[in-house]
Amino acid sequence: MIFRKNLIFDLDDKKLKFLFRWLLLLSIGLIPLWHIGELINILTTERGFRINQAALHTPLFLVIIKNLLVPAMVFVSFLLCFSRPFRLS
Amino acid sequence: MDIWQFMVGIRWFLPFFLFILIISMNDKDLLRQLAYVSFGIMAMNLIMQLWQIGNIPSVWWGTWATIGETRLSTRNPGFFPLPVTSAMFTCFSTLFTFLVVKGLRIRLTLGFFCLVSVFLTMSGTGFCVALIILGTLLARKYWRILLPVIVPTSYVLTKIIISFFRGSHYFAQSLGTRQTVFSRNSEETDLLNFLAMWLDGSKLIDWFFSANFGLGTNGAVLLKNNLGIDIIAIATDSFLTQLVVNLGGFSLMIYLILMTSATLLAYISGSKVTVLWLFAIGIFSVTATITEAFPMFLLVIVAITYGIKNGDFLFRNKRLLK
Repeated sequence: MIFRKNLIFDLDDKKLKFLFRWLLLLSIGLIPLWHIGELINILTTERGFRINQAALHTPLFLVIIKNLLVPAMVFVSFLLCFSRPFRLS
Repeated sequence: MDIWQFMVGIRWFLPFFLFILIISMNDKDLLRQLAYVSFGIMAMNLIMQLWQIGNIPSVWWGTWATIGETRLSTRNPGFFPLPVTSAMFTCFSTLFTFLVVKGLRIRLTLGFFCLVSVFLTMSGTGFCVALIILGTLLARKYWRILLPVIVPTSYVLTKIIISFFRGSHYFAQSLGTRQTVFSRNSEETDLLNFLAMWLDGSKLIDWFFSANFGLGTNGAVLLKNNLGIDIIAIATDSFLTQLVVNLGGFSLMIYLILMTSATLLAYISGSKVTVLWLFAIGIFSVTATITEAFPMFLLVIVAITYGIKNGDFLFRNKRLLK
């Protein structure tokens, strides 16, 4: 209970905003990294060869990071939005 | 309701939640940083596309399409899996940068690069939006008088140019497929049957309020096809169809009323960039799934929330609010 209380109240607006901003910028700025599999496919496959551009070569850890960044950003914005009424009261 | 269905539905609906959540933390710095990042990605995407013209091995959506007898690739999606997604990113990034950059010369340069990038994707929707952006910029202060001419001209030019490269059957095929999907999901393809449905109360309620929340999403299709999860996924391929399938016809009506009134208000008050944003969202919602296209939904939501927070989204200089 104490841990939970501290976790929410230790993160003030500035820290949360900073975290939100970086999560948002990273999730968009790292697009070339998220599509690394497709780039490898295009670079390594012979011309005229029919392939599934989206399917191969993307490392699993990248897929996991990519799919965690946006939910994390939403969670942070949720914290930021709904922790304010607590403080006001 | 199945838990998977609910989760993909929430994923589809997520941007609407974000709209409420991020409005308080959206400031000029965030906008500027995001504009720099999206411009960087846009430039890298264009370089990638230029490289792909002569080197792309194939495309997953069909055969290796080339321009005539040349070995140059017709559709170059850059970093993105689909050409329409690439075109959508370029158009929305350009409009996003317009929120930060005010000079006409820089905006025109950006608009020109946007047109080149979209042309390389050969996306009809993107090309039409890019032409509207460029045409409105070129019209300068007469844009409000010329907009009723710019929009139909852009449509006709798109039809001519894209059909020239993708074949004369392109327009009927591309729009026809989406129309068929929309009609099938609206359950009535024929206009007379549709009118008859309006007279039949029970059918009308079924159309107005959907019980398929989450089924008409790309997420549901991927869960079924890639993970083998037992779910009745409905392929939609259009945001308008998604609204009908996931939420029901009432949401489509609300969307159309909101978009029309917002565009009219922005047009009357002279908010050029907002009009372009609304046109882009409206046109892309016919052929693309906006709320599931990453990172476009983030750009759209950040831009709209920033505009609303600063009071210049619909009312330029708050003229009509006074």
